[in-house]
Amino acid sequence: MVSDWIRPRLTLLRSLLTSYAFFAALGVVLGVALAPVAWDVAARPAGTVAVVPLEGSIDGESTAAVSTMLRTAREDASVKAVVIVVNSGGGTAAASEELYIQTRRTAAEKPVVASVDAVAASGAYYAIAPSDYIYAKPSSIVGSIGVLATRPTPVEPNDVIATTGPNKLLGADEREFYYLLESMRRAFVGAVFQQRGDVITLTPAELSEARIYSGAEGLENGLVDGIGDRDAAIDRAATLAGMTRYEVRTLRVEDETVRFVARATYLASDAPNKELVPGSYFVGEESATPVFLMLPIEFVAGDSAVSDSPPSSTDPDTEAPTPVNATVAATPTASDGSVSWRSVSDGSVSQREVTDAE
Amino acid sequence: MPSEDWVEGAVKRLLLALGVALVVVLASAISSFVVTAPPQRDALELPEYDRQSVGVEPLQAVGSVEVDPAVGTGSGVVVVDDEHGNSVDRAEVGPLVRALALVGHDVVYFEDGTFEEALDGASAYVVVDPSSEYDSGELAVLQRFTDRGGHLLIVGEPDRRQVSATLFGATVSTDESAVTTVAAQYGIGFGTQYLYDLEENDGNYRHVVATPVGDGFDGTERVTLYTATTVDSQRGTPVLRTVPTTRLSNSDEQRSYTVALVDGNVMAVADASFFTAGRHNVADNERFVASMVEFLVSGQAVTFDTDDDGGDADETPDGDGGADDSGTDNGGASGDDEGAAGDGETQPESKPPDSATS
Repeated sequence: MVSDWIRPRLTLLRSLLTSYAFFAALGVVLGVALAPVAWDVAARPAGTVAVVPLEGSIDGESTAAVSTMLRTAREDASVKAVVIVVNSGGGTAAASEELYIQTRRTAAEKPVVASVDAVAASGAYYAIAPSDYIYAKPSSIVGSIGVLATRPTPVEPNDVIATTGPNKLLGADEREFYYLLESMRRAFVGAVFQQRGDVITLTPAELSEARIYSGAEGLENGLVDGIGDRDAAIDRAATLAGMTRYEVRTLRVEDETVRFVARATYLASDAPNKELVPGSYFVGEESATPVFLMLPIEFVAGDSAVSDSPPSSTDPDTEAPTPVNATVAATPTASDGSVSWRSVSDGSVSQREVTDAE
Repeated sequence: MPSEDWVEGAVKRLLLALGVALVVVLASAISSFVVTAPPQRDALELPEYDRQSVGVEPLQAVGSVEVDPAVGTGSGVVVVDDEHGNSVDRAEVGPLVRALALVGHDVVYFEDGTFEEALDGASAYVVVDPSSEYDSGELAVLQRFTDRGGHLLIVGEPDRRQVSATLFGATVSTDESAVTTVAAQYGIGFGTQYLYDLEENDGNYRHVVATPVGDGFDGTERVTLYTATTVDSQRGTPVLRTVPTTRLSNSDEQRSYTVALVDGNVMAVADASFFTAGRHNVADNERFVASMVEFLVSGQAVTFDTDDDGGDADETPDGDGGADDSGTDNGGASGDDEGAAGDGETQPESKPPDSATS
């Protein structure tokens, strides 16, 4: 009885197993089952373009944030190219140099393209100089290649503070101080020429005049490589990385307050927490120790003639809040906020979409 | 009955299994170690920050002002203007005054009293960066002074900005050197723009380098000036000109500019900072300062008789009385009558064409 039931089915099985049609159908079923996987794999982008925003005045906090983002972009194997979107007038000298070295390091490993938003002046231009390509818009501002510092007011010899050397209180006498500043200028100008000397048409002396240039002028004199917006920068970065299909991710550090000194940059920014600070944030109301800046600010510090005559003694009546103790910006105090990833749609990006998606 | 062979066999099989498992685990660990090794990164080289690119060799400040003792008479009075808001505190004119004292000259400050009384008996008059102009009466006295062999040194400065912080924000005002009338009386004009040089300087673009012109400057190669302007005159002889890479602020020409000249009994210098204490012996400054002192001590001692209205330097008053102050002066050519050594300096002008300035 069992054999009566089994035998026809065995016969069916045998005929199936010897039938090409059956196996063809089996193949189709298998293929259809695996097709979605293949679909996904084929649609996968070849890599990611990471967008790193460099905005606000460059101080310890912003430097730590941007350095973290650049390091993340370097170490993530899926990131194949980096776009730095700049909207900054610069900041302290050492912090700007830190960012320059970070960008240089990144550009040595992956293509880096910069896109200038409103302003990339002074320290901010320093930070993007190692880029493979710099985009700006005709009204963007670049340039201001130079260093400024609050000049030390002579306070030695006095009867109040005893020191063991003539330069202990101020760091340098007047002439030495200028030489110090000059060596910083040479480092700055030298670095810009090292990175872009083959395209810049200005001489080092002309660049040292520390003028600002519009994006259109920058294109003429070689400070800028092309006129374009963020998307142009992203496309070029992808092209340099050899990608036609790519994903764009904008990095942002959580809970970062972005500080701006220049109103133009403040207005152009879409940072969630932004703040306009006065120039005194960098120089203090009355700072005796020098602060070295790469930042084109209208400078106010007590009562000093802009000349080479020895400055008059400081006005003792001015109420002085704690001076900014930033002789040379120390290693950025790490507010190592976590770097958050926000994925946007394939191939295109809008910064606004990113913040809304939060 | 399980034989010992069976146990031995089982143990061998077990050990084999463990051995294979161990090999697989080790292989996994090793390949994981190898696969997750960080990519080889060369140390980042930064040739743009090499010492020779960035280091600056400062000009040395050594030496002191040594006046040729053969010049002048070894005694005399030099009057320094302190009545027109001048920059003549001890640090500002110290080296000059000290050098004058060392060759036996008295230095007197004109602070009050009449101008004529102050100049009576003096052989030289020094005006440094006044902030108020001379009136016509003073100009006439000065004209008589130089006509009679007195030597005049006019030191001017470019326009400078005073930046001060007030309750309502920063105020900027302009400091001008009020040398216009004094200089114009002698056909000399000072500029208001400052000179700068980004290619050859003493550590800063405003610290320009100049070289002496003419005889008598052996061994003086480089004089450094600190925020200087230009000085020109039709008849005068330039004695100090900047290097050819100098520019004038807000203009486009790059050339050599005159910063000091001599016209008879008048010497004009376009910077008040380079002979101040601390700058007076940078590079070869001390030699040029010595030549300025030599100019001062080689003037003729001038007397103003009490009823003098245009007489000459003779003992006998001229019958010229009645000529008003603004009239032409025709009695100035008799400096030879003095028994003074008057070594090597040019004779006083006989008849300056435009003495009637105001």
